[in-house]
Amino acid sequence: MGLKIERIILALAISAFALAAALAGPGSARADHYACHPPAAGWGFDTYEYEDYVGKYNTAIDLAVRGWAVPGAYAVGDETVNVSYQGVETGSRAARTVASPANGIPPTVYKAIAHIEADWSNAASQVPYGGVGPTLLSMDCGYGIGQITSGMGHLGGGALEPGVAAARQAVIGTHPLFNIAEGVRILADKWNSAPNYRPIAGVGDPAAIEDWYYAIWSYNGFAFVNHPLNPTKDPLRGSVWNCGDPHAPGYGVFNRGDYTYVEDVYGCVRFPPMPKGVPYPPPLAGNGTAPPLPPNPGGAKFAAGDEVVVFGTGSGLNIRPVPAGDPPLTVVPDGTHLTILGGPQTANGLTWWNVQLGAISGWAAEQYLSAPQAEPAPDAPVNPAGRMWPPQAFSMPNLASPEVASAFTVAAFSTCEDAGFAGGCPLMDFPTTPHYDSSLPPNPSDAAYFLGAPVLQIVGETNVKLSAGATSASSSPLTIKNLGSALAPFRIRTSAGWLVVKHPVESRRLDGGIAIGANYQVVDQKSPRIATAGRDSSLIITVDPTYLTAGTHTGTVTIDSLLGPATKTVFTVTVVSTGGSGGTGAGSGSPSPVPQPTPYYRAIVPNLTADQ
Amino acid sequence: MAVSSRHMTRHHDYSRLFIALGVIAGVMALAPIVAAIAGLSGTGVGPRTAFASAPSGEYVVFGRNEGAVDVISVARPEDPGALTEITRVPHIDGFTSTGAVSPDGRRLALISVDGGTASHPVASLNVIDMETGRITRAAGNVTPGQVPLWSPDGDDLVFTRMPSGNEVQGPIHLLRVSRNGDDARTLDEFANVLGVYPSGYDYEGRLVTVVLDGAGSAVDREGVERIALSSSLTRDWKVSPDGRQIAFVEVQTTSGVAYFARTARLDGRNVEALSAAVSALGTAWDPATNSASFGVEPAGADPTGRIQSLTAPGFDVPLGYSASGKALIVNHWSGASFAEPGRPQLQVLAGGGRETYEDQTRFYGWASR
Repeated sequence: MGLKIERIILALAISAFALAAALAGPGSARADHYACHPPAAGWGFDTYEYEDYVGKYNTAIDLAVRGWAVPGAYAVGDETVNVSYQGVETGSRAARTVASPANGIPPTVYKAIAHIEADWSNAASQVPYGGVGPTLLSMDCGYGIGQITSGMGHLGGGALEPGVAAARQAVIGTHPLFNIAEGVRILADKWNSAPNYRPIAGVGDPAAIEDWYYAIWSYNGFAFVNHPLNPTKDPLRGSVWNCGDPHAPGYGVFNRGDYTYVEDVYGCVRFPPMPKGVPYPPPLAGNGTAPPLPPNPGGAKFAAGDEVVVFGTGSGLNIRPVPAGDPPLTVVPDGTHLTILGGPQTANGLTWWNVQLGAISGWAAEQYLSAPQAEPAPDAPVNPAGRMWPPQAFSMPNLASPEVASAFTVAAFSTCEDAGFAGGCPLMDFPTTPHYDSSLPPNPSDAAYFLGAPVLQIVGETNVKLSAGATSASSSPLTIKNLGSALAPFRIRTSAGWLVVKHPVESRRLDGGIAIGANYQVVDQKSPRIATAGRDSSLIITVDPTYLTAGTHTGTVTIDSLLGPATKTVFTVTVVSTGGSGGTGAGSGSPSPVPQPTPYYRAIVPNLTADQ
Repeated sequence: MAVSSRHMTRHHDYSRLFIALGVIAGVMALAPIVAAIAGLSGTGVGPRTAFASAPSGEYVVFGRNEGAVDVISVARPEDPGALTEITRVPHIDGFTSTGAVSPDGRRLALISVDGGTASHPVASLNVIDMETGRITRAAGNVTPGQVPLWSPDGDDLVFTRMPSGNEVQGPIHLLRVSRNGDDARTLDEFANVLGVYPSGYDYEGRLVTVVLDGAGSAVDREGVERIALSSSLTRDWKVSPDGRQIAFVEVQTTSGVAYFARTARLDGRNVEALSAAVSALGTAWDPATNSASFGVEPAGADPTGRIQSLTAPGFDVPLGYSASGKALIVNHWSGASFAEPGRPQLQVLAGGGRETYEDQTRFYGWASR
């Protein structure tokens, strides 16, 4: 009980952080909207970000949607870890078959979801590609590339107890392949919710891209905000988001927030993004857009008075006071229309044009300027060159069809919602014209690259003696190695809230991490590239003295492997504290009990209804 | 914090008086210190935007999205190329702010996504003083995508709050907050509804809220029986300047999705089908004539589609008249129909002509100086 109270106190500290954030002024991103915001909340997991993230995550998703990615259920101590693909049902409402792993998911659907959810990143933004560091953790406690929230909670929904991660949570939080596999499982669960708790698109053919409409909707929440006729959405926005493609319909006018989640995902199925920093290819000839303007006499690309459009920068184009001059006057995003005032001039090896935007005039690099083109046809073929995955053709629900439109009446949705989705909302079924994913299947043996043969070794003094004052404490080093290959995920459990395992130079508590085998390169610096083979996880065991009263306290730290040969090491920690402001349980290290913690927690964090 | 209960007890009037006196005394005592710290002593004037010294008249308030920032600018309708930047509002990339200008034309209320995640966004309600550029956060945990509603006196804002992205739709809270973020309170709580949209004030000063549920769309006002607008979805609601009518677009689905212009009396129960056969989107009331305008498809011959006297191909969706009624902002679409709308541009229709506002993608209202 004392242990749980400590964990609850941690939750209260999180809440206090939220309240403090709420009282702060406006900022670019606010923490008070959610209870979960790094670094004060959420599990502290480390992970690995593949350097070839495009190639590796493509393969990982291709494997996962076919059930080839991760092993079946296995034991970690007395816990069971099962992230294996359960398969999906198939068939119409009247002829539904049981779920089978032989029925896969169109890989592009989940690739687009992973892009929408996490921009194909499994680690936090400060971790370079090929590096090791904190797992991507969103403000609503979504973990990794799949932004997994279900079953990842502290206060229930999977934890062994508040503040102690289950093995399943830890492997999803630390290992990219397991994170992807869990995301695929969740999407399959959403599909399998039909026909009992969800409507069916088409004939329930899992190979048809269109038939995933309701499963994708459900991945984000089957709420009215994602209804295609939601009155906050512009009816003329087009059927899908442009996914950042400057040659796609709606670019420069509509953003992803102007569409439903389903339209965002399908938009990235049709217009796959480019790898970060790589410009988009030009549109295919004859795709409905106007042909490029012919060169001006004399060979110059533009002439004074021409209207041009910024494209292909990703992060915006600098408008400079003189060619190549610093500092820039302003930065304008892709899609901005500029007027040519003069030029060209050459500086720093680039061609520059004098451009005007409103009251601002300056110089812009020619390579990011193009002649404006007419709005492309929504169904025009997409140039696949260099994209992160092959673009797919499909059709969105044809709302001009009475049969389809009737599925999206308020009565149909409300009847469904009022019944708690029981009965499967048959009024919302609609027909589709199926298209199939053209992606080539991977080699099943590719899973071996991701899984490898990890062998965890834990090195450190297991009988740890520490001392603590009022505000500081000593520590004991601990190294976790992978003597095998690939990634060796591990989980850290502490028996008391005052016990802390962390990296020496970070304040973040760790609940799990990863040790890298020698067959993986670990990148410390991208440019110039600095990388080494493999990487140990170097940690320390220490205490948070604010949780301790004067006296001697004991506790344990348990580290166990989550993949490969079972390894479990228990560290017995004895700390002599001379001060601190902690609780009264001198022998146990338990802090003071807090009356009615749960209502207090909920009361000061708006909108917190569940920790899921 | 803007969290309150609809049952929350208000301060007693005397208590509020004492608090106000205390605040005034405190401000008087601290003002010289604050001014000195701020470096304002001697002038009594804070930072001003270029708008603060602009010529008097009517101005269009625009937004241009630059990734994770919205650039807020104003321009005279007769000089669309001369934009004056007011401020820049940060937000999560991919979400353009929605907003409305106060009745006195001096402030802009913006709902900007600044929290949660891109998949489960949450917004804040910010109020921008357009003469100083100062941004005041009036409320957090606001539902994105909605347009906040100013009270007729410009002191308060009404908005909604609902669970974000949850599987089961929770109750939607209708809240009011003062423009500086004080005195937030829940006005009402709606369970088992799909959407709640504060849309204006009626002729007796009652808040007009459109509620969507399984029965369709209805107008909800405190102390007045609900008026059913339609058995289906509706959108683009605008209350007339005299507060006696509401214009809206009905979304019919019986023959495929189609949009039809409608008005309803708020001092009666009649819903008028302005155009039974012609698709229309967007509503705007001309304050000079108290008449509604809708944007009809080019093929339409609807006599109420007053703004379709086009000299250019395409069609217009009306967004808002200036206070004088002399100018109207529209989204001009280049295409031939709602099914193939082409590309939009914000334009102003005034004096029989039309001008384009290049690269501005969001119209927030009309400011005045």
